[in-house]
This record gives sequence, structure tokens and C-alpha cells, in this order.
Amino acid sequence: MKTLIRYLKVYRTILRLNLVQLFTYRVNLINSIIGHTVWAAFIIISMLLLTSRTSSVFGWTRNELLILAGTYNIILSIFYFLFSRNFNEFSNTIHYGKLDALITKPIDIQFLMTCMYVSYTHVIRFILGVGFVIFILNQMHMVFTIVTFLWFILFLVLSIVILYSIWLLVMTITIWHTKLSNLADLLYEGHSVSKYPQEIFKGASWPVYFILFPLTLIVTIPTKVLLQKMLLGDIFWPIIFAIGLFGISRRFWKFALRYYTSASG
Amino acid sequence: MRYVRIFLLHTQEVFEERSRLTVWFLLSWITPLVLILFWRGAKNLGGWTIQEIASYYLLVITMGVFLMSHHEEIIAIRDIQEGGLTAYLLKPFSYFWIRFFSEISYRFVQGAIGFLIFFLLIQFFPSYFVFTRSPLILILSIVIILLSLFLVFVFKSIMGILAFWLTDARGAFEAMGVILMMFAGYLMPLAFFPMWIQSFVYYLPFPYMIYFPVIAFEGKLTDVQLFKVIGVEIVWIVTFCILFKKMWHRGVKKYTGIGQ
Repeated sequence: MKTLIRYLKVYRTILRLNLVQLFTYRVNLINSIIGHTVWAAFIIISMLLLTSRTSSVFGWTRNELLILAGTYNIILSIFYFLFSRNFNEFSNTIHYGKLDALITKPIDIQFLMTCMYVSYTHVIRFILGVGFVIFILNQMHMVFTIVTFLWFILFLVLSIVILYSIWLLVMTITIWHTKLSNLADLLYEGHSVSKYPQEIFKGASWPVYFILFPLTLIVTIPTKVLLQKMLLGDIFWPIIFAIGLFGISRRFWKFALRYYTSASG
Repeated sequence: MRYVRIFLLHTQEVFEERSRLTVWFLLSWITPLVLILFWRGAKNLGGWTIQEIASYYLLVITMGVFLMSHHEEIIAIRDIQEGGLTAYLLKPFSYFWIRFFSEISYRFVQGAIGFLIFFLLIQFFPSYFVFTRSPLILILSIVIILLSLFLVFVFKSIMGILAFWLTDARGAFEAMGVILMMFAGYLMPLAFFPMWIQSFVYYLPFPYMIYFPVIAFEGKLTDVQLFKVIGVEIVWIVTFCILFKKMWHRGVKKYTGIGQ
């Protein structure tokens, strides 16, 4: 409990420092807001365009697919807000030996490496996502109860844990291949598969489906909760993958750290 | 000759960074492959067959790795913001052509791998590939593809030198990325767009960067339409070259050797 309080205090300081930095570079702030708004709009517009000629895809109606796109914006905005900037810095921190300074601090190195930066500007994408989902749900006359809300929050948290674990697993490779900064770009592109219904991947070959399966859960399951279409089987996979992947990624990170050779590596 | 040397030097550099190259290559396959899977479940394919759609996206991947240069961030961040441009300004070379020959080394290597994979896929899954067998259309398509390569290069160069005026050009680059995703044909064939969008999108330069080279190669355009595409591409290239020259002359005056 003491440790948890200590980490919460550290995180509060991190949040404050990032806020100061945000308002110090105002041009960056405006630029980032423009960028995130454009991407949030693109996710919705692209789904509108993809469904402009077809009424349903794999049993998902147009409105359901739009809710999927909106939920994708919500989940991604939270993940980007909390972690993405840290993973972007991974390769640089390792390649230039900056990890030396972090590794000697009396705090968990994984926590420092993955939680040191916060991107406040992604709040705009979150607001747009929430607003859009509520708008479509209203249009569909869906009843949104407190139980639905709690289930949604649970699966949202599990999705963030799955995303975090996948990113950590992949970015840890930069301990050995320090120049692979574009692994982050690969992940940005990779998790974009989650904005499509899980069913579309069932026709793919089994190795592809197996690799993509955790990613397909991230947005589809919380969306099914909102649409009240969740099946009993849908509950277990996110829990299993969130716990399993988090454990594996932490172990892999600790294992990889043994091979860190500072800037000369 | 000196530019050929620049090209060869950068080609060596490409092979030095094999792992990064592989990641970039893998990255370009993800979205189009997912979109092929998506269209399999669509009720209405707008008159296209699933084979034609698969062929379209596989050509988008191949053309994308060959045509879509990524040098705007190097120009904006490494050269203008961090001051790397100074080294180029002191050399008796045109900065524009140095960037061009360094960038096409990447395009040729990635394009060669892309075309090799495309060729192998044709051998194994011939029914999934639709492309022209007419020699005239093939020649005109190659002209369109080469013009597109230059068009993308000049456009991205203009985006890069925006950094002379913007202290942080990331917002502009993200907006550009979205526009290209939608209007260059990455998301879906522009023929699938609602008519009101189609009515203006063909006046923009973006469809000439990926979409038209792809459908020209597929044999979906007549001879007359192919010549029209070539004409429009030349108009955009000339316009962008003039714009680049004007922006460059003004921008260099604003540039400070220690970076922006």
C-alpha cells in the first residue's frame, strides 16, 4: 500500500510537469490539437465512406460500424494520452544511452519508461469520440444503463492493458535493435486493425487470425457492450489476454534489460 | 554523374538499414490487407468483383512503397529545424536534386521488393490479379507511374520546406497523411466515393499520386483517359515546381544556420 501511494505521488508530479511543458510550447499545443482532431475525424469519415455503398458488413450495420469507429477513438485517445509518447521515445532513450540515468533511480524502470510522458492534447480526441458515440446511440434509440456503463468501463480498462502489453512486448525489441524507432509506426498501423469488426478476420488464415486476435478484441468487445450484443464467451478472452499479455510483457522487459549495453551497444 | 554517385551512396545506406526497411515494408501491407478482408463481407461492391478489389489493394501496396516518399520529415526536422541544411547549402549541388536522388534510392529498393512480391503473387494466385496486357496501355501506365513518383516527391518537398515558417510542422504532416489516405486511393477506390466527392476530387493532385497509376496499370482507363491523366500530372508537377522554387527562395532567407 505504501508503495502504491509513493507511485501515485510520483505520477501526480509527472502529470504536473507535463502540464507545465504543454503550456510552455504553445505552437506544439495548437499543432497537436489540429493533428488529433483531423485523425479523430478521419476515423469517422473513413467508416462513413467505407459504408457509403453497403448497408452491412459481416452482419454489422452502418450505425454499428460508426459506433465501433467512435469507440476506437475513445480507447485510442486514452492509450495515447497515457502511454504513446513514452513508447515513441523508447528507441531514442535506449539508443543514446539515456536509460543509464533512469536505471539508477530508486523507482521501477518499466514505470519510468512507460509513464513519464503524458499527452494531454489527446483529450480532444476523447471528447470527440464520446460525443460521437452518444450521438449515434441516441439515433439508434439505444438504452444506456448504469450496468452497461460499468461493463463498458471494465472492458475499456482491459483493452488499454492489452494495448499497453502489446506495445511493451514489441518495443522491448529496441533493447537489441536500438535503431528500430519505426517499430512504433508499425504498432500505430498495427492496432488500426482493431477499428474493424472482429468477424472480418475469421476468413484469414489461422496464423494471421491467431496473431491479430488480441487486437481484434480491443474495440469490438467494448462496442458489443454498448450495443448490448455481448455474448458470454466475449467476457473471458479480454480478461485472459489482459492478464496473460501483461505478465509476459513485464517478464520479457526484465529479461531484455539484462542485454542493455548503454550507448555503445 | 555526381548525382548518380549520390544515388549509389544512398542505395548502400538503404541496405545498411535492412531491419528498418523491413519494418517500413511490413507497415505498408497492414491497412490494404485488412481492407481486402473488410470488403469480403460487404453486401454491395459497387460493380467491382472481390478479385478486382483484392488486385486494387495489392497494387496500392506495390505502388505505395515505390511512389510514396517520406523525405518531408527529414527536410523539416533534420535539415531545417536542427540546422542540417547548412552543410548542403555550402556544397555546389542543388539541394532539391540531392534530396531527389537520395530519396529515389529508397523508392527503387522498396519498389523492387514490392514488384517482386507482386510478381510472385501473380504466379501463385493468377485469378486474384487484374492488370492490362495491352503494350500501349502498359507503356502509358509506366509514364504515369514515373510522373507520379516525381509529383509525390515535389509535393512532399513543399510540405517539408513549410518548416521554414512553422516551428512545428507535425500538425500539417498529420493533416497531409489523412488527406492522402482518403484522396490518394489508399482507403478505397475513388470510384466508390459518393458522386459529389468524386466531382471535385479529380481536380486535386492527390488521386494522381496513387489512384490513377493503380487503375491505369489495371487497364481500367481508355487511351484518351490515360493521355488526360498524363496531361494533368504534368500540369501539377509544373505548378508544384514553381511553388517550390518560390517558397525555397523566400524560406532560405529566413533560415538560420543553427536551426529554426
